[in-house]
Amino acid sequence: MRRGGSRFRGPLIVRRFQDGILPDDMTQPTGGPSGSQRIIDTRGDASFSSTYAAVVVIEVVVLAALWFFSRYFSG
Amino acid sequence: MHPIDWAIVVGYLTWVIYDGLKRSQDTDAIEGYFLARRSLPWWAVGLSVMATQMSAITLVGTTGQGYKDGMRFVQFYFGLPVAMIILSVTLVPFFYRAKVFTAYEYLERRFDQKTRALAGLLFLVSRGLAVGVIVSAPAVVLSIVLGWSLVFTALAIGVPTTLYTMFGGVQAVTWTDVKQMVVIIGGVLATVAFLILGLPTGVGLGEVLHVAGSTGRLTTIDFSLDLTETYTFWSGLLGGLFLMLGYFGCDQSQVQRYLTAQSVDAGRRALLMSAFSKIPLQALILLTGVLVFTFYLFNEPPMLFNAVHESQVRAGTRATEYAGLETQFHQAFEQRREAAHRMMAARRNGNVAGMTDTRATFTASQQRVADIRRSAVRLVQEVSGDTAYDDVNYVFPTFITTRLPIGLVGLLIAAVLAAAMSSIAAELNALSATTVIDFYRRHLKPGASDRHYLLVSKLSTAFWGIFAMVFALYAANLGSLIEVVNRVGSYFYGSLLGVFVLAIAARRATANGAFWGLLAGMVVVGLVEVTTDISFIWYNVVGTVSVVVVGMAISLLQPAPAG
Repeated sequence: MRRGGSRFRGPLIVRRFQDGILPDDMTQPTGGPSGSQRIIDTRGDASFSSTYAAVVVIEVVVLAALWFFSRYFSG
Repeated sequence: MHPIDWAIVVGYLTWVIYDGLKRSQDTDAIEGYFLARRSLPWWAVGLSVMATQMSAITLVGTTGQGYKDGMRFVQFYFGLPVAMIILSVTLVPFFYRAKVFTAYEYLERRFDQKTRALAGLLFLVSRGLAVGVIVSAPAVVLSIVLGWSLVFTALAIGVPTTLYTMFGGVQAVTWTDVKQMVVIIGGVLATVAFLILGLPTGVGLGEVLHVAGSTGRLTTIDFSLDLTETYTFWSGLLGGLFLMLGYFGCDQSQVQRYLTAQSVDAGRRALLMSAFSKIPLQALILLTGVLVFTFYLFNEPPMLFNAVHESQVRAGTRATEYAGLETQFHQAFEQRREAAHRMMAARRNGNVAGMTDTRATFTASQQRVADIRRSAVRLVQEVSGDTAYDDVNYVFPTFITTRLPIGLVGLLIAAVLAAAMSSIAAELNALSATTVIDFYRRHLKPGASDRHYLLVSKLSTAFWGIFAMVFALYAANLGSLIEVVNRVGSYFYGSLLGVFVLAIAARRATANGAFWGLLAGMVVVGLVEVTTDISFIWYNVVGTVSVVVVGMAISLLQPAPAG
């Protein structure tokens, strides 16, 4: 499901997160407290695609509503 | 204030302290104290995220802005929903699975100790001063409007907040935030209901909104490309996007909120709650300010909303001049009221030509009222010597205390206190986390027991609480300092966001590149501020881009990071 071919996978940086391909030098300690586990883990991302889409759709609807509200009462 | 309102305010403060202190039973280790053992439900974290962002300055200032300028300020938040999506995809899982206590802790894992220390220090300086302002601003307004002393008001806000944050940790912060959001939203909705139900007989909500709209107060979207204008569609969408990415992604007071969530998904849901609701909520608060404006179309407002400044002028040598302005203001108000009624009658009767004429008459009379108010403000500035004086922040509190019925006054004062306390508590908890985790545990006393760190964390919270209250009293007399503090925040967010972009998106970025890039970003923002007139909202874009460009340039001159 996560690798569904038709799913919109976004720009490069998003794909890198989804694929978990960030190199270990970005996820390993370089002198501070330990933290050697892989921290790019995308479990659960797919289930949020529709929520993200809903956020965008609702923002567009809200902005359109604000615009119409403004036009209606200011005109 | 009536005794019933006092009882509501005292009851609210007692309830908040009791509820917060109750949470200390669950806080016996540092992970519980700062991260609630990552156990909180998404909706509680989501409400806490919103409560943290909504300070008393936001509640009081935004309604005042709605009254004075209308709803255009809502555009400031247009970038927020997209920022929340980006953070849900990137930084939320990143921080959560890194098991960090602070955002800056991650910078040491990716870069080095000095980059972490610099970022942590920037946070402590900018937010440490800002928390003083968050106490000071509502304390100044409430002390004047309610007639309380400034010290008492600052203590009434700061002491309960410090107590429950100190003993209850992040659990207390979050669960009191939940209740405080209920008080805030309840207070705003009750005010809106009062304003709608209080319209003159025979006057409808749509009619008064048309009147308010004729003054431009219901203009919500401005597509102009003017970079000096803060509130436009484009500045909100792009500048606001960077600002919100910086604030929610790099400011420990917000990062710590979603690190307390039960899971990565719960953290995401918490942020997405704001993505769905922030713009409508902000529009509602601004609309409340517009409705206060419509209320004062039919009920004479004070010429100035800051009673202390007004009495200062009355007692001075220019009292006669002020009295003359008051007479003019009263006449102008009567003309405006008459013009508003005529405009509504023309609309009711479907008289198109009359609608145009009455609208022109109304806007002229509104302009006259605004001009007289401006003259009065100028007079106060000259008499008091306070050239930055503006009474926009006094509009809503004055309306609350002089126009709302008994009971609602107490609820709304509690709502303003709740807004202040929710933001302060989150800041104190985050300042303590950064102090202890990024400095004390890392540099001063590594390897001590959890019990020791817990004690130091509580003492650190108390220190920041006391610092905030003392600084608040100092800041109250230094208007320009407040501006400086806000500007430091603008330098900080964009530049810090740039470092995190380097950290997670540029594998070639080196520790030195990030460190010097961060410093360069702040310098560039400072130069832009000094040499141009562009709005501060764009500083975040400038800061981020500068850090990435300079950071990458330096990184490319160095050997690639190992790994």
